Amino acid sequence: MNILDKNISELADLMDKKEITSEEIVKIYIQNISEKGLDKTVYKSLCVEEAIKKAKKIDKKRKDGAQPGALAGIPIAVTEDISTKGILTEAGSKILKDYIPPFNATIIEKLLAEDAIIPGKVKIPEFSLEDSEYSARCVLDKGALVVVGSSGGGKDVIKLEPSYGLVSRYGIISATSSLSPLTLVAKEINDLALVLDIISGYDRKDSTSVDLTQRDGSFKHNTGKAAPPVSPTASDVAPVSKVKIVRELSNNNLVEDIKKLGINTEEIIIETAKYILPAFRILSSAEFASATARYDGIRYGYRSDNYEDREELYKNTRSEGFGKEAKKTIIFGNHVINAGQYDRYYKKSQQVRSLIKDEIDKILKDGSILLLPLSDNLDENLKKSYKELGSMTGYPVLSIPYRNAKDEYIELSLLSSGFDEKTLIQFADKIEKILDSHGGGE
Amino acid sequence: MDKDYEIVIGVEVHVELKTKTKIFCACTTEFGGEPNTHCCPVCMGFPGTLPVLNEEVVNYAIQAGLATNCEIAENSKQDRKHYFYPDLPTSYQISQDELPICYNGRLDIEVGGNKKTIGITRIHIEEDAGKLIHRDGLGTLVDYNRSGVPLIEIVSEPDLRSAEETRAFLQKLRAIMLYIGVSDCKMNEGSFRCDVNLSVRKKGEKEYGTRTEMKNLNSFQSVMRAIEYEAQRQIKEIKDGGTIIQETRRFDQDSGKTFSMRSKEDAQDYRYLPDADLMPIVIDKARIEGLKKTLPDLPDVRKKLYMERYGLNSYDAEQLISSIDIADYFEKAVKLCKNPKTLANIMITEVFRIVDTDDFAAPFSYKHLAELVDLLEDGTINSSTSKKILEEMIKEDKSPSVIVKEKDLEQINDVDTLLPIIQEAITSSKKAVKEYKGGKEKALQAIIGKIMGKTGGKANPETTIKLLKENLK
Repeated sequence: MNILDKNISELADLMDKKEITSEEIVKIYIQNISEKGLDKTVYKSLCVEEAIKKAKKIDKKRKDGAQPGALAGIPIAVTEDISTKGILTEAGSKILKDYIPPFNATIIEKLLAEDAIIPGKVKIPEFSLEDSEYSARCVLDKGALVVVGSSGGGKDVIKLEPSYGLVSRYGIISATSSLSPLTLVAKEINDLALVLDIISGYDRKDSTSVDLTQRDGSFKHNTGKAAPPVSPTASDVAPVSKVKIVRELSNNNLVEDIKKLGINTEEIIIETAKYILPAFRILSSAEFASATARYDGIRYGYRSDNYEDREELYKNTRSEGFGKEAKKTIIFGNHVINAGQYDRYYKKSQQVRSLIKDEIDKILKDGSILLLPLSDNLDENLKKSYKELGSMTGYPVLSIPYRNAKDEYIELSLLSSGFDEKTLIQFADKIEKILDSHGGGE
Repeated sequence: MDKDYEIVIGVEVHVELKTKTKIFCACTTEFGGEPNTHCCPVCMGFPGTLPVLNEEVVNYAIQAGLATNCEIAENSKQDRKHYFYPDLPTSYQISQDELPICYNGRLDIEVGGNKKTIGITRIHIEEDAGKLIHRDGLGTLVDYNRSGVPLIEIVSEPDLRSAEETRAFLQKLRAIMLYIGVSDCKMNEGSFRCDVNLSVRKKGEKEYGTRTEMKNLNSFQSVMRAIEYEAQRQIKEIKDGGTIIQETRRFDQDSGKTFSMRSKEDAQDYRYLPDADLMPIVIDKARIEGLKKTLPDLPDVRKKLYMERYGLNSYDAEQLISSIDIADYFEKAVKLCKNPKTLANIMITEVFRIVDTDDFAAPFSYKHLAELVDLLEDGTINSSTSKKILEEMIKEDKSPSVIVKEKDLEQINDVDTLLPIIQEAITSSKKAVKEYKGGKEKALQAIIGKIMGKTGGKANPETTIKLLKENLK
C-alpha cells in the first residue's frame, strides 16, 4: 500500500478504519520530501516539528472519540507568500527578509480549523511576478496532496483559480487588489474540490469576499466523499449546455473528442482578446506598485545598512531589497498612475476590462462554459493573454492536463461564470476520465 | 491692510471623528496611550492585511454633510494617495479623490452684523497617520496609535475675505461638529485642524491671485495672526514687483510669521488610485433620512429661538450657542427661571469666567442657577451677593436659597432696618455730604460704600439710594 498514491478521501477512510494514523501519514510525506530533496528544490521552509505535533494531536482527538476536521492529517502545502503566524514568510523577496507574520492568513485559519497539516511553505519567484512550477512539482513529487498559493505554472496537474471573492485574500502577500490571487494545485479534482470547500467563504476581514449563503444557498462543491464516478454518460454532464471553444486556440481532434460526449460545441472568437494582456499588465503593475509601497524598511523586512537620512533609507532599502522584475513592475506601475498618464493608461485599462467582461458575459449567457485549449505550441503571448482571462473577469478557471495522440501537451482551461466552480469541477471530472480512456493522458 | 487689495481665503479642515474604533480595523481611537498599544497588523500596514470600512465613519460623514447643507453622494469610492513617510504604514493614505461622500454645501456666518454664505466644496473621509517622536540618543521613533483614526476633511470655497470671516466660519463649523457629536474638536489635541489657502488681488479683479497654503495653525488666534501676516506679506511682495509662489507655508507661533515649507515644484504626485480592496460606498435615501432624524437643532436654529423667544441680543445668543453643552445647559435653566436675559448675563459674565467654554462642564446644577436668577429677580438678593453665592455654589453645589439662609445673605429691603444705618453713614461722611450738596453726584458712592460695608453688601441698592437721597435733602 503506497500511502503517497492515496487521495484525500482514501486517506480519510484508512484513518477512519484505524489502518493508519495521521502521524504515520505525515512522517511518510516528510520522509519522501527529504528523500527526493524537495526541501531544497520545492520548499522554501519546512515545519516538520509543528506538523508531527499537530498530527499527534489529531490522532489523540480521534482516539478520544472526537470527530476530527474534514482535512484531518492531510498534508496541504501553501506558498511562501501566505501569512503564517510565527513562520518565516518572505514572499520570495529580499525586501521581506526575515519577516515573520504575527497573524495567520484566513485560508491558513480555515485549513487549521479542519485539522489540515501544513508541512511547509512552497517557493515562489519574487511576489510570484513570474510563472513557476514549484507548486506543480510539489504535488507531482508528493510533497503534499494540494498546494494553495500564488504559483500556477507547471504541467500534468489540475489547477483551479477560484472566482474573485470566493476565497478570502486576507494575509496573501502577493495579492493585488482586484485580480485573482490564488491557484489551487492538485493531482486529483476531488482533492482540489475538497480543499476549495474548506477555504472558500465570506470573511469579514476581506470586504471583497462574497457571502454566498446570501447569494445562492445551493452553492456546494463535490465533497470528494462520494464513490468514484462510474463511466460517465452524456446525461451526467448535462449542466453544461454548450462548450465554446476559442477558434484561434482550437484543435480539431479535441473538438471531435468533446462532440463524442454528446456535448454541443461551438467555435467562437473573442473580439477583445488582443487587449487582455496589455490591460492586465497595466492594471496588475499599478496595483503591484501600490501594494508594495509599504516595503520601506521602517517596520519589518529588509533595511539597508547604508543610509544617512530618511530619503536614502527609502532609496537604498528598496533598491537593494527588490529584485529586477519587481523594480520593473513598480516603475511601470507608477508610470501608468501618475497624474499625467492615469487617464490614458490605468483608466483606459479599466474600461477595457469592462468590455472584456461584457463580452465574456455574452458568451456565457446561455449557460455554456468556455474552453481555452492552451497548447505548448501556441505563441507565448497568445497563451499568456488567455491565461489572464480568469483574473481579468474574476471568473473561475479550472485547468486539466491533456496530451493528444501526437503527444502534444495541452492545458485545457475551462472558464465559467463567477461562483460556478461546481459546474466546472463536475464537468472537468467527467471530461478528464473520457479523455484518459480515449488514449490521451499520461 | 491696504485698501486697494482684497484677500481671498478658502480653508481645509480636518476633523477627527470620535467613533469607538478606527476606520479600517477594530483598534480603539482613544487619544494618547502608551506608544503602539492602540494598533494591529491592519493599521500598521503589515503585508497581506486588508482594510474593512467602519460604516459608522460613513454615518458621521453623512451627518456632517447634512448639518452643512451638503448633497450626499449615492455612490462614492475610496482612493489611495501615495507618499512615503514613516508615520504612514502602507505608504498610501486611504482618502477620497473624485467622489467624496458630501459635496456642494454651505454655511451662513455673521461678522459685524453682516450675514454671508460660505460655500462648502466637499466633505470626504480619510484615515489619519501615526506620529513621529524625536528622542535624543534614540533618534526618531514612530507611534502608530493614531494611524487609522478616522477623519473628515471639509473643504470650503474661496468665499472668505478676512481673518474675521475665517474665524467666524471656523467657529461655526466647529460648533456644528460639536452639536452633531461627530468629534471632540479639540484644537490642542489635533482633533480639529485647519489649513488656510490665501491669495490677494487688486479690488475689482476677477482672476484669483496665486495662493499659498498655511499649516500648523493650532488655534483660532493662530489662524487670524497667520492670515494677517500672510496677506501683508503677499501684498508687499506684489507691490515690490515680485510674484507669489504657490507653496506650502508653516506658521510660526513665536514670531507670528509664515515660512516656506515646500514649493509646488517639489509637490508630490500622489498617484491617486482607486482602492480596490474596498467596495464602493453606496448610500441609499432611507439611510440619509434616518440620519437626518438623529440631528439635533443646529446652532443657527437655536440662535434664532433665543433671540425671538427669550429676547436676547445677537451677541449674547451667539455666545450661548458656541457649544451644544452650553446651549443645552442654558435651555434647561431658562425653563425654570423668570428672566432669560438675567440668566444669559450671569452665564456670560460669571459662569464663562470660571469654566472652559471649549470643553464645557457645568460647575453646578442648572436648577440652582435658575433659582439664583429668580432670587435676584424677586429681590431676595442683590447682584453683589449673587457673586458671593456663585462662589459658594462652585465650592458645593447647593441650593442658593439654602446658601442665603446659612450665610445670612438675604437682601435688606426693609426701610426701618436700613434707615438708621443710612443716617449713621451720613453723619460719619461729612466731606462727602458737603461735596454732594455742592453738586457732585459722584460723592454719593462713598456713602453708599459705607452702607454696603455695614450691611455686608446686602442692602437693597435701589432702596438705599432712594432713602439716602431723601435724607440728604
